[in-house]
Amino acid sequence: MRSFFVMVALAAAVAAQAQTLCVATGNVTYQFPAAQTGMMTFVDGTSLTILGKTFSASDITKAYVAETPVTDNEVTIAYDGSRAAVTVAGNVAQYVSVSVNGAHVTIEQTNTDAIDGDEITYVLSGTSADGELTLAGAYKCTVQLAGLTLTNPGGAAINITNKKRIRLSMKKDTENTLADGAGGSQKACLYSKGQLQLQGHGTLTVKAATAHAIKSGDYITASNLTLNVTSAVGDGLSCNRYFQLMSGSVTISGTGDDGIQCDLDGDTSTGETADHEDEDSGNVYIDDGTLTISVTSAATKGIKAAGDLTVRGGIVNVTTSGNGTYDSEERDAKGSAGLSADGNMTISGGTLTLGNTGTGGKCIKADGLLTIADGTITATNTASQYRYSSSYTASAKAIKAGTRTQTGGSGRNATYSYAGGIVVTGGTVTASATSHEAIESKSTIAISGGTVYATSSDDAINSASDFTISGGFVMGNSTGNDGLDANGNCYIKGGTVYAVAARQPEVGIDANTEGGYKLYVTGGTIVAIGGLENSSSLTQTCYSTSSYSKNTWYGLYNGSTLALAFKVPSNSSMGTPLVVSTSGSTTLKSGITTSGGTTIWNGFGQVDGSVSGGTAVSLSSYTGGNGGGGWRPGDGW
Amino acid sequence: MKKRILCMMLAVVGAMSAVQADDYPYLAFQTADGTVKAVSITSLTLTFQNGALTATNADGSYSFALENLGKMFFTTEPTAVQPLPVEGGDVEVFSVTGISLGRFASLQAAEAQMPRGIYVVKTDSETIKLMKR
Repeated sequence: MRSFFVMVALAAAVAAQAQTLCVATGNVTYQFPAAQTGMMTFVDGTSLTILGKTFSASDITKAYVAETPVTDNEVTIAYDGSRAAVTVAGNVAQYVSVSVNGAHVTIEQTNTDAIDGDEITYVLSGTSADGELTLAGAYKCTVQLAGLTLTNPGGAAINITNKKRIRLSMKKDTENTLADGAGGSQKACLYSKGQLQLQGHGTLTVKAATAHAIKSGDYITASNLTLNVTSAVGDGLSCNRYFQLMSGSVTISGTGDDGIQCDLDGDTSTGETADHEDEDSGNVYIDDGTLTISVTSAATKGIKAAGDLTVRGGIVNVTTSGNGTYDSEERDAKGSAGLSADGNMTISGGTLTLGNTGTGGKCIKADGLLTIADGTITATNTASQYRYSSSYTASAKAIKAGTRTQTGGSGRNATYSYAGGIVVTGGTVTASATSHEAIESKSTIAISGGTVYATSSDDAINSASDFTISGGFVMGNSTGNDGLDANGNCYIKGGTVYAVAARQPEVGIDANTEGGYKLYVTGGTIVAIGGLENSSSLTQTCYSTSSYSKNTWYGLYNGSTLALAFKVPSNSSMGTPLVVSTSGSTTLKSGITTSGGTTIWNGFGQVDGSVSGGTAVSLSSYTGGNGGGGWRPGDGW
Repeated sequence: MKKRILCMMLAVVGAMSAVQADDYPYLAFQTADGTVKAVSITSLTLTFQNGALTATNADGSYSFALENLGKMFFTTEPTAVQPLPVEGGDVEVFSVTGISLGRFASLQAAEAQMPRGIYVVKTDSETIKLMKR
């Protein structure tokens, strides 16, 4: 039965190869299917009009009838070294004006509506080391790359000045490469003035020697295709309005500036709109797919959103290695960032692996509110501070969000306003920083779910304002400062909290007592090595032991129920006492053996498993009073 | 069952071949005086030089002064039956044997009335041979 359909298809294909009148003007051939031509008219012995396309008789270099299949609405451009051959389907001939100079092809498309119910598709193939496509028009179209290797030493390889929606589609299973030359005036190797939809099931590699690799004056979306930007003087992808990765694979490296940059087109953001209709937000959306970015230049960003940055799924790998620099325009020290948003950042899915080695850099930086609702985030920062001068520094942190603005006073009497911050309701966060806070909010932090592990030689987790934990599993492991530090009030209302501080004056859980704030413990399961801040309000009873053993597993019980199995780190500097608290009768065992369950906090905790053995630890009532690092001048960005 | 499928396949191929055969084997040129010349499209090339269009195929070459050429169209008939023009106005329709079949308000009206076939149509400006498919 299968062969029957094959035969039908074959017969249909043969039938489709009906007579075609081919009219060539130089390297451009217009193909008119005989069945479509109708009456072709001559005027004054000088011109011939076919399907609305008027040819000057003197321009026709050749005309012939052949059994040539024609796909309506299609224009093909075949590059071959120093020349290009163009074919134009008869039904769109009157709307397409083509000029060819060597392998430099310029097309002006004049239709302002669909033709025979569809848009024009330009199919590009072949190879040229000195060619281009410049495409002008006023109606949407598709540009398909079907095995194209195109270099333009003097400008953009593809330059689309049409301001309408452009689909740039990679033909399935094809490899396509675009490159431009150095020292040009082009904005990008691949430029589209209009909305650019990158798609298809083929591969596109872009190498840009003058500016950006791909630039759109409007939005860019990407789906299905494999896109590789291997070099660019500017950004890998640059666009306005919004950027959206829906699926496929995007890999960006070798850029002189950001991996992906999205700016506002106008002055006022529309915010995210339904189906992104008429959206001008500067937002970046990662819905799915695989995104791999490596940027190396000074103070560059893997992804830079002028608006919000949203990760809903996919795999996101970003490494930054460029050192910090002084921005003379903004008069500030700037560092690199893996993910950067001038607005809010929301992570509700996906697997994010972010690394920074450049001085003053950050893995995540959001000026607004960072919300983590789901997903797996691993942020590793091994860099040190960038110092332009004593007044201008940039600290290297794994995750930083929120803004603090001084509104009056100075020094200890300074007053501030706060915006944004960090909210964690789910997901798994692992953040480490070598020199500065692993997680820092310049505003508030609120954790109500998820699993958070932060480690640093500075505060593991720090908030410039209030810090609230009401759920989830949170561990701050500091080798040189506080485990958890709030420069405002600190509220422990629930959840499971494990804080590890260096020796005094640092404390496991700190609040800004010196500034008139306080630590409030009203619930939760708590372990704090290095104790709690002075003058804490401990509504839930806390206990302490003055001694503990490094690299040893402990079992914390609420009555007869194991509340938490935790391992004491072997940091060189660790404070005392070890404070514990649960919502019920609290007991502690040392030297337990764990099995099963799920390991959390980089191996320092275990949940849903079982324990055995161990020795009961003698606990004393604890009312707080370990001093603390207290108020500190804010670090620079 | 296999024989049945094979027959179906052959029928489909045959039908499609018939479609192919119904395409346009001729390209016709009509000069300003109404003269129509149809040439086979087999290996047909057209050149535009020195004010003339030269059609060359396996049968030979046919040259037309461009200034005298009015129209060009594909046709199934070696006698160069034209496709139906779109102009309006009264027309009289004759059979190919010269019998008047009636007068109509327009070519479109005549087309609606006539069964498939070849006709000679007289308009205000010309007499042409037409085919209704």
